[in-house]
Formats: sequence, C-alpha cells, structure tokens
Amino acid sequence: MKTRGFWVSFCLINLCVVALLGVILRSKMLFELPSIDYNHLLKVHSNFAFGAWVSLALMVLFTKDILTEVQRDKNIYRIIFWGIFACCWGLVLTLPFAKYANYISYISTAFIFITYLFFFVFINDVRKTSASKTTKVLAISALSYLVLSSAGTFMLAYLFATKSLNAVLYRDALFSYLHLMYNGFFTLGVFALLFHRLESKLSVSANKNIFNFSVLLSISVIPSMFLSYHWHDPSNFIHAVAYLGSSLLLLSLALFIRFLVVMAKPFKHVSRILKFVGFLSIGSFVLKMFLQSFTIFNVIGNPIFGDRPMIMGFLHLVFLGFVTLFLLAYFTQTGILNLKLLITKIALGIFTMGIIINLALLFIQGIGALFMKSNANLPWMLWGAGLWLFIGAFLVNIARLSSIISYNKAKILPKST
Amino acid sequence: MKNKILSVITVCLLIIAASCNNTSSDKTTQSTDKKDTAVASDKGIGRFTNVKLNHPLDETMITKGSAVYNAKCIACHKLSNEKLVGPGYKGVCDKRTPEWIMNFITNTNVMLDSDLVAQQLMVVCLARMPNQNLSDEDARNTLEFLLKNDGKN
Repeated sequence: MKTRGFWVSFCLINLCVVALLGVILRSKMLFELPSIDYNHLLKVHSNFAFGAWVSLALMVLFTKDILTEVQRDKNIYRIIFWGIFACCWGLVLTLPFAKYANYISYISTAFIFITYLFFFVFINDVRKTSASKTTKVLAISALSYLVLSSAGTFMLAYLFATKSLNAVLYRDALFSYLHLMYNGFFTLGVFALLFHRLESKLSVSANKNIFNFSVLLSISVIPSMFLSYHWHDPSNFIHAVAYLGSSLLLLSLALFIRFLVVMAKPFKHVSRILKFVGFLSIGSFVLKMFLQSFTIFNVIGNPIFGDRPMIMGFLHLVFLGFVTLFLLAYFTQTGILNLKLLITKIALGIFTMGIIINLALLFIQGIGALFMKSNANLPWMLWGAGLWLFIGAFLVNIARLSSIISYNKAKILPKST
Repeated sequence: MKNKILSVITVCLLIIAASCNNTSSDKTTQSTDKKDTAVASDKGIGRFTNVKLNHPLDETMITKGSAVYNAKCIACHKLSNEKLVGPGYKGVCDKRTPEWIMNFITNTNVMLDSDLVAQQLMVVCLARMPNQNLSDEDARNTLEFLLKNDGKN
C-alpha cells in the first residue's frame, strides 16, 4: 500500500499541472494559439483542478488521517485513487483532440462513478472508527454533496447532448454543480480535516461550539444553493429558501467567528509563514461566506451571476484562497512539506503571494466590469499572475522533493553514526 | 444499502425538479429552446432597424467603445478572428449588419432565443452569452470600436 506522502506528492504535481493549464488559458487570450480550443482547455483545467488536485487530496487525507490503520490499507482505496488518477490524466490526454470532446463526458462519468464508490466504502468505514461526531458529520456531509453534485453534471451532459439552448436550466445545472462542489464537498471536507486534528487540543465547550457550527454549515448547503437560482426572478418558494440559506450562512459565520480566537490558540507556536498561510485561508472562507450570503440582494446577486470575471474571482477565492492554502498549510503542519527547509518557506511565500495577486486582479476585473471601468493591461497582469502561480506551484514540488530527501537522510544518518 | 441509493436518487431528482420549476415572468431573462421557430434576419430582432454610421469614424466613440470592450467583452472575445469563449471580433462588421450587431448587444436573450444566426453561433461556441446590460450609447460606441477593428473608416 502506498503511503500518504506518495499520494500527496502526486496531488502536488497535479496542482502544478493545473497552474500550467491556467497559464495556457491566459496565454490564449493574449497570443494567437489557433490549435488550442479555449472551451475544451477550460473544461480540462477545471475538471483536473477539481479531480486531480482537491478531490484526490481530500479523499487521500480522509482515508489516511481519519480511518484506522487496518481500514486505510484496504485495496479498494488504492483502486479508487488510481482510478481518479487515471481519469484526471485521461482528461489531459484529450487536449490535442478537441474535436473528440465527447471523451471528456465519458471520462467525467467514470470519475463520478469512482466518487460514488468512495462514498459508499468510506462512509461504511468511518462509521466504525472512533472519530468524533463532528468529524463524521462533516466528512459524511462533504461526500454526500460530492455525490449530489453529479446531478448537475448529468444535467449539463444531457443539455449538451441534446444541444439544448435552455439558458435557465443550463445555468442552474452549472451553478448547482459548482455550489455543491465548492460550498459542499470542498468546504466541509476542509473543516472535517481541520477539526479532526484540532478537537483533541480544545476544551469540551469549544468542541461543542465546533459541533454546532459543523451541523449548521452542513445543513446550510442545500438552502444556500437556492441563492444560485435567485438571479432569474424565481418563484416565492425559491425566494424563501434562498433567504433561509443566506440567514444560515450568516449564522454559521457568526458562530465560526465567535470561536475563532479559541481555535487559533493551538497554533500559537507554529512558524510565522504558516500562521500567515492559515490566516489567509480562513480569511478567504470568511469573505466567501459574506459574499455568498449577500447575493440574496438582487442589486448584488444579479450583476454578479452575469459577470464572468466576478464569478471567476469568487471561484478562485474558494479554490485557491481557501482550499488550496488550507491544504498547503495542512501538508506543512503534518510534515509532508518540511518547514525547516528554506525552499519550503520560499515556495510557500511565492505561491501565496501569487494567489493574493491573482485574486486581487480577478476582483479588480470583476468589479471593473460591473462599473464599466477597465484597464487594457489587466489581461497581461493576469497572465503574469498565472505564470507566478505556476512558478510557485513548481517550487512547492521542489520543496516536497527536498523534504523527502531530508527525511531519508535523517533516517539513514542515525544508522551510520 | 438500496434505501440509501434510493434516497440519494430522490434528492437528485428533487434538485433537478427545483431547477426546472422556475416560473420566471421576466421575458428578458427567460429562455426556452425555440430553435425550430428561429428566424433568419439580416437585421436581427430588436428596436434597431436603421443605424447611421459615421464617416469618418468618431475617435471619441472608438475610445469609449474600447473601454466597454476592455470592461465587458475581453474575457470572452478576442479582437482577432480566433474563438475564445465566444467568436473573435475580426470581420464581424463584414459578416453582420450594424443593426444586427446593435440588436444582439442590447437584446441578447431574445436574439439568442429567436435569431437563427445567433443560435448557430451559440451551438458552435457551446456557451450562451449573458446579457451585459449595456446602454444604447455604450452599444453604439462598441459598434464604432468594432468598425475600427475591422479597418472601416
């Protein structure tokens, strides 16, 4: 059975590929690249980012960190991880064959069925572990929303297959899928891992607060999905559920902020750079919750749901700012990236700066589109930020390699002395 | 286990039903698949039936149109003939009438629902352009910028 470190190394390589695909997408906007189909590349970029980076990382960490030793070494998990790996790299291999874009649908379907398998196997196992109620609620909810998100994918596939031009259904299916992935699977998955590590270091009352927050956040996912349908003058029912969703988001955010200081205590002695990365990740989560709950107001929601750069800004805020930074902090805190090495500090610093610059530019572009303000240099700056991110992701991989070498040396040295 | 699968499927269906059950009254955002009843018209569908062009082109309008392009269009359209999310702009003024362009910019959803050329473009790009809510003046400035981009004077 391969180790946790082996799969995380793969995930980090995949992060680098995601960043590279992002640079090619930005390059396509600025240079003549007729051989590349933008929409095809965009699908591969987003699907690879979802599958090969975040989903694989979360599933590996769920298995290796939450399950018992016997459970985590089961062959079925190895098959699942290799299956996800094969699907995601299969997507990249379709890139030169844009006219055979149907392959993407077949591969995405295979990916979905593998996630179903993981859902059933993991839930069956996690129930038998001694993990806390909080971890179980979050992990099971996260995976349930991952499974539910496939309904959006199938609806999109149906609309493409029938060449349907129904804009409302198309956008609702897309937004449902994105919502369940980002606010369901990714967000709850992150908190499942965070709280699983934290709860032993916290008091009983703090753990009680964490549990209440976890339940509220998990419940809020379905009603807050109706915020995504709010843009098209919905029925009273959708309107009411969207309001409920918005209120639940704000309520869970209030709970979260209340115990934030208590939660930060165990991290008092971690290094400054790790604190910075963690702070940015949590800050991105808070900002995401605010932005999401305020889309209930038409004056904010309507332009945002029709403003492509703004949507991209929001998606990258969650994906890069919240989830990716959390995963990197988690890898560092659990020793997968050795923070004693200078290269790890440099890599984390450069990649984090890249994320900040990228998000700032995306939001400047998004807000600019709303207020009809523009700067012709923005696409070049975004291209530069994309390149910066790629270099950062590449350095993170070098840091991982250096960490492996330093651990191996540390193992050998005591024997030789 | 069967019960679990059934409940997952039921929830999926409920969500899809909720998505389908949007009884929008706003005709500008509501869209249905009307491909069979689409109309081919060189002027498109909308209130612009006769757009007067400037000779020579108005430089102030071009500058303003360029600003609109950079704010609203650049994320999906290139100025060359290369497709990004949507088609490239090069040659659009040779292929379409000024009225069609103005109607498409200002009456996007109706055009995508009912204009044959707009629908064909949507099928090629596999994406539906969202209404950008441009004023008539912004749309006209954008047209001036597109004319300049196509080398008109």
